[in-house]
Amino acid sequence: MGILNGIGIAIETSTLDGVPSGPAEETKFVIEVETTIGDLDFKIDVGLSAAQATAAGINFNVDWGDGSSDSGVTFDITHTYPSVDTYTIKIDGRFTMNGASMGTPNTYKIKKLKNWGTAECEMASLYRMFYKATFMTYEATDYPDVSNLYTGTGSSRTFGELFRDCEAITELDLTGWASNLGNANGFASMFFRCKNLESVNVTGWDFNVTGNINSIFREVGSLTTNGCKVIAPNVNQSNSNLFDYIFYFAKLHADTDITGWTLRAAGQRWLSTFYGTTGDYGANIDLSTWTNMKPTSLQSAFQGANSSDSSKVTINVTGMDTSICTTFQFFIKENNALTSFIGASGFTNTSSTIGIRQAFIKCKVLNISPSAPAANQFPATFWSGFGSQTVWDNAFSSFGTTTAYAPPTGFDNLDTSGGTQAKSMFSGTKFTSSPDLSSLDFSGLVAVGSAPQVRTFYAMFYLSSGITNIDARNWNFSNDAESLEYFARSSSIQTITFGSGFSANDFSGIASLKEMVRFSSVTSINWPTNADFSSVTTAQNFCSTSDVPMLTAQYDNFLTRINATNSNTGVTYSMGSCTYTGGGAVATARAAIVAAGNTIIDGGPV
Amino acid sequence: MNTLTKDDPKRWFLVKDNGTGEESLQVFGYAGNIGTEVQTNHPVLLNWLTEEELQNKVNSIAASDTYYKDAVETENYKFQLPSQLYEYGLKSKNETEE
Repeated sequence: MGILNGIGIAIETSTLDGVPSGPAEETKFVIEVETTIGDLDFKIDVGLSAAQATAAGINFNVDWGDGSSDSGVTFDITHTYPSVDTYTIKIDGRFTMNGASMGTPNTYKIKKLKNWGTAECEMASLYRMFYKATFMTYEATDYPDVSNLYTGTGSSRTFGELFRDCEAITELDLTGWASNLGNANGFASMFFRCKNLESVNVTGWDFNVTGNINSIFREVGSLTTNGCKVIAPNVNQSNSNLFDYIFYFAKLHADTDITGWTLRAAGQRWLSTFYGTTGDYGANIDLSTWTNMKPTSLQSAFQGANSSDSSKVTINVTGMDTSICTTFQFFIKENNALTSFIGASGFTNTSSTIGIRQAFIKCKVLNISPSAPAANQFPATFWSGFGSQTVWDNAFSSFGTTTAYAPPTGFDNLDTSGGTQAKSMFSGTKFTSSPDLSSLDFSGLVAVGSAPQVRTFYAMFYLSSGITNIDARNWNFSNDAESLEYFARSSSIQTITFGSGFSANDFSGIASLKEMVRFSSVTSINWPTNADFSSVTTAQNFCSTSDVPMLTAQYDNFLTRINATNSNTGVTYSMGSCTYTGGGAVATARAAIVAAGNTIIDGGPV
Repeated sequence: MNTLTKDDPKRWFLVKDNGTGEESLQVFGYAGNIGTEVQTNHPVLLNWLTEEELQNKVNSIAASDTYYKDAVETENYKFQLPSQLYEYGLKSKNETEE
């Protein structure tokens, strides 16, 4: 057991020049370490090169707590303890250490931070000081002296990752630091993965520095029962163009206070900012008191927030300005329980260029329909502003699967003209009424590859509900459209019109019609009279054997066009109970298809 | 041209060429209820009353006791739905979402 080295047993509290101290009369930096069998060393690594350490003025005295000490230490130092025990280390002077450089199991030996030693220990840096001090509890009531953080080569004046992975800390009241942040210039990942943190209070902190606060509360409280109470009102982030991962997978207590934040007026990136945020606050994220919410990107900004919570979930972004937002991909993806996205009405969409890809996947109960409050409805121009979007894959997959609503206002103006990929775009989508999709434009499609499930148009409406009529006459797809496999399988679609008469839609790249309308409600498919099916190699299980997805005239045209354009052999056309006109040109065409080495299963001639 | 007529009660069928082994199988499965016909220019079209009989023949041709079952469960493109014995696609559930 270590000794107190002359400090003595505390009998009263005191302050030095108004500085609150930790344990009574303690004025040094104090940590408690515990050695283990076969590993009696403890290393202090300053995380700097020798030259940098000199430039930073590192020079500290250390009482190792076992009766030995070192003075005038200017660089890394390792001490070997005599036995397995718990030791109290006390340090004064100009000091830093870097948990990432120290590494594990070295950092695992730190069990307590007892005192910062404001009066006697001047910090050259706090960067990663307790990184992976996984088992360290926090008892300090004072604050570190960061009035003179090292600014030279190799320096880091941020508090970045200061407590990263400190999973044993449960409470951090850091309000006493507020007026004593010295020349710190960033706070990124400061509390990252403090998974058992039940409260953290940084009221009054000035975050308006040159650096950012990315990931500052990332994963905080994620292992707690009720979440972490983050008390951080009126944060000023008006200098940073980055606003990423701030509450990524954090579990936030209901009493969290993050009101009144001010962001950079010129805009900021919201990459995964609230991705996976849970807890009672996460169920009702209210940013309506924030100023200058002006995302340049909303990628995954609210993805999966409270995805496993079945209670009512709301997100309030009233006032958010999306005029310079370049991407919405994944932005509210997998919000299974999100009912209200308040502030949607203010979403302009004039700068998006990257994607709406998977933006609304699994928003199973979200109401953005005409029946929703006006503030929750995206304006019509939002949907028409995606002309530059390329990837439409899964954009609306599983939207409304639990509670369906009518299509949002303006949805019929969805601009897909820049779309290069569109597989599974409406797979699992449920509406209470059929949207008008006749204005979709797929003239920009690009062939993807041979794997069936990545091909363009694969499973476009698979498992969808409420969509009854597909008018695709003007979709203008080229021969880069690769597959109609699963296109309307298991859907409520009743009619599909690819063309009536001549059509600009080019089917010559379509290789698969497999299970295209199987288990669907389709009773009418209009193929254009110039349809080119030259690439079709399978129409296996096109529909169920008892189904009649085409009228006789439509099936006549289909057989005629297959015979006219397809010279493949070994193709099985499983066309259910569709019937064709016997005894004439169509029967001749059908016979020619079979004679060419193919198999047809259908309802025979009428 | 071979035909399984609309009124033929033996609805479980296979189509194959003159070769041997799995590669000779072109399509096999259910032809649908009475009222549906199968026409093919492949030289062999066989049909049975039950799926078990079809399964035995298919497995015999493929020289595998589990070929038919695997074909159903992996959505083999040669299999004509449905099956009364096995779950179609059991081993290859389609993922339409990432």
